[in-house]
Amino acid sequence: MKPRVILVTGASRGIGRFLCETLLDRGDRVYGCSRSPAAIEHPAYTHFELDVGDERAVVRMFNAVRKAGEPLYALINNAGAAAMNHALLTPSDTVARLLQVNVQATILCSREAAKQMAKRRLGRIINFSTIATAYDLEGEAAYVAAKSAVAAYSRVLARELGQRGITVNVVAPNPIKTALIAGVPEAKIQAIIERQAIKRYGRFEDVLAVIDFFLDPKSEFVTGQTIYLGGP
Amino acid sequence: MSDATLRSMLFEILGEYAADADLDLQFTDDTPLFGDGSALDSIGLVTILSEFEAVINDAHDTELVLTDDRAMAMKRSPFRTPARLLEFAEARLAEAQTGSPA
Repeated sequence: MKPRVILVTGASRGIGRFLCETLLDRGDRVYGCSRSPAAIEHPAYTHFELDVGDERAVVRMFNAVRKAGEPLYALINNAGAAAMNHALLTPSDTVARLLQVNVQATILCSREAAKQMAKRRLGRIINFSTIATAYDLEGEAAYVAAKSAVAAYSRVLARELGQRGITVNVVAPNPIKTALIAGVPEAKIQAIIERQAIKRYGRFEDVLAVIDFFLDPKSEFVTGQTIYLGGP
Repeated sequence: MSDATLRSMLFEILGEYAADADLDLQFTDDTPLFGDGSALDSIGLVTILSEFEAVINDAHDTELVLTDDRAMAMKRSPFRTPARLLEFAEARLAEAQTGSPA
């Protein structure tokens, strides 16, 4: 079987790095990007150091992937940013950054990936939301708004691309021990976990299981869905 | 690149699209690409624009996005016919190569 070509954003740490390393171990051809230099060295890995909110840099990256010759099968829009603030104390710059990294970057990368996938009538776009959208979490208004936008965008994109063989789905993790929640008090995290149907931290492997399901060629009829880890 | 090269790229893409979509249509400079009288559906136009953008970027090592905010804001759509699309793409390419608005 030919290796699948998969692009993962936010590839230098956390879930993104784990996904890249796992896919590489399985024999996939992986492209990754992050603002920091490559954290992975592997013959089947190519890294782009860029800001996913920079349109020109994103277009340049996707041009390079296309020029490499092997068709892009999947995009995993993992890059994300979080912030905790009371709604009345949320700085405008924080709102702009959350919207740029979570929403604008997802939209830009999806657009460029779908252009390539549409020609082949085959592709998978996987976006990231959060359990926080299901819980309407206090203290995360801007983050919840941004990640809700990602889910809404994904549902519309799924409709626009449905006839082109491209599925668009969303994984919404519960708290996982990554840098994204490093600044969140433990009591707050525990309160979220208590609301879940299955009460434990998420693991990278839980995210991988959902992504594998979306990536599976047999999942060609699954699109526009959001899967909440741990149960909403 | 001469205008003729961009032109041949565009008409090759249009020809391939017509063949793939089983359209009995010979594209000319004035064939409507969307709206009244067009044989293309919306995804057809998207496909053609995406492929044209890709071949330009590959040939010139540029990062052109044909469907940018300025294109969408133009009263006279640059995507209405192959002739308008060519004119628009040539201007955008010149701008990308010189680094200033055409």
